[in-house]
Amino acid sequence: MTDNETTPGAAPVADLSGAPLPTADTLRRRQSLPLQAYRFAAFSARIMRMVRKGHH
Amino acid sequence: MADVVILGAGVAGHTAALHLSRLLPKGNTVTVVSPNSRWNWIPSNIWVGVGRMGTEDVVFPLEPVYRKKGIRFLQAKAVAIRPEGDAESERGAVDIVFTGSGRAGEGDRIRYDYLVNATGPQLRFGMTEGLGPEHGNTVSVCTADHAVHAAEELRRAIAAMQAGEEKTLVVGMGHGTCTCEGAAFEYVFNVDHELREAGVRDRARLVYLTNEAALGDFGVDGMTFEENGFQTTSELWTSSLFRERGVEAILGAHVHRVEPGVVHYETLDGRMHELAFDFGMLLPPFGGVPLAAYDREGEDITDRMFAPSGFMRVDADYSAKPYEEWRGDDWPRTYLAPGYDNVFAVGIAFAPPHQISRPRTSPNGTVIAPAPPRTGMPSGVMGKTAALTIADRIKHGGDRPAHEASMARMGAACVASAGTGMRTGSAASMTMMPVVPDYSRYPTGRDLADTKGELGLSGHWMKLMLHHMFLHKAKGRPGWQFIPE
Repeated sequence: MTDNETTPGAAPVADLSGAPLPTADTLRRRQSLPLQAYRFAAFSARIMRMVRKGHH
Repeated sequence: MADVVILGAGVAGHTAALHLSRLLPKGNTVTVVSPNSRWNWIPSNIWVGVGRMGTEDVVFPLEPVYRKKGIRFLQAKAVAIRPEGDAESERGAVDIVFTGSGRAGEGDRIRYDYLVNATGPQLRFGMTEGLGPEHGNTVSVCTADHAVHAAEELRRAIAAMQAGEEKTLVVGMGHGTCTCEGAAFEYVFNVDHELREAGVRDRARLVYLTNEAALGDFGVDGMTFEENGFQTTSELWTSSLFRERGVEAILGAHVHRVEPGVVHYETLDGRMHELAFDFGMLLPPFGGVPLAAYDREGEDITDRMFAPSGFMRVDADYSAKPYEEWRGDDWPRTYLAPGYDNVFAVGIAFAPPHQISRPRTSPNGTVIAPAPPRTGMPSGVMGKTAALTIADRIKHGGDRPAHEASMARMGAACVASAGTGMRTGSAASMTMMPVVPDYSRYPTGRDLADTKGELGLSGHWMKLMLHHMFLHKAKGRPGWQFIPE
């Protein structure tokens, strides 16, 4: 590497403008206590299913 | 009666030791050799690194646990293994050097009937000039002490922003061959959360600098999720979070060196760049813990037993072949070292046959390829698998078949915290099945029923529950054996 190969100030930041933004409703759901309690149970059940299928 | 020696007391080694202590009949011995006197629940170092937890919340002393379980603990590091014994005895042996207990520096040779190498990673900060908290210009969250230092530096940066200054914070991977992208991902979003809590987010430029060619790769070549009747990718899902939180991403980067306040890095197109920063948390690449190996005559067989990376070869297919020909079947099942049916390498200590993520090279020949993750859940499963094989063979005869647990068959969960708080916390919760994609069984490489990603408060509760559950298990408290790996 040499100094003249460096491009200071030109950080190649990824263009994320095409990534979907969550709606206000999605953001609310992510913090909703009843819904998140259900998601917690569902995620726990999935982990246990994976444990049964994949471990020994 | 048999003697089992376990090198390392991380997730894999400690899990193996605990299971052996319950599985083996009295009269057999289990010895753990570890240079560290404390156990560390590493996933929670992220919270230590932002000041939300203290060291005492994530570490505990090993000796009392081992005393209670009848496990012998030697605070020492292994320096050589002799799988065929030596001139005195044909029993396998390990050369150790004590690191504590008033015997620091003293050497010894201990014999074994079964050996489990679970030495974990060597943190190779030295592979990148200027990397790391001890001799470099960046902080780390790899150990609890590193994380405490990271939290202090972060606090300082936040205080300066509260005083009106603007800062650039960079979080990510300090080398093109790093692994554990998930940890850097977690840390960057926890830093984002802390900046918001402190009311200074608008004064911070937050950059995620990674060796992943795409966001959401996580060293496992990304994931495909099924959502609302469509297939989507972990790349899109992850990119959404970066956009929502305003975190910039620099992809496919290999850090060449870090000067005070400046990261010099190369990207996959071969261009060199500089990034000025005020706070930098960059993870190091991992290598195997240096261990030599000798045969009975004292000939050096290190190259035969270990890959150049320092990780131990096991029952994997290490033949060189193109990426397109890599298969799940290449991955080890029993973790037994070739030629030795009583030597295992588990967790990070075994040599993976190849990357999971597609390896890439820049036009300058710089390898920018995330190494495969094998921490957490898979590490624990491997440790237990080795313990089951050893217990079977000790109790029922050395010809008993080995238990199997291939990463191409097992799943893993990754709960990446994105902020703390019982009401305000958040995390990206992912499960994948299997860890190593198998395109012969699944069109997308993984089982879509079990490969999922979701964001929300429940992920924070899950991570907190895992924290308490695994500390309970690691301390060998009542019912520990019913908590899955």
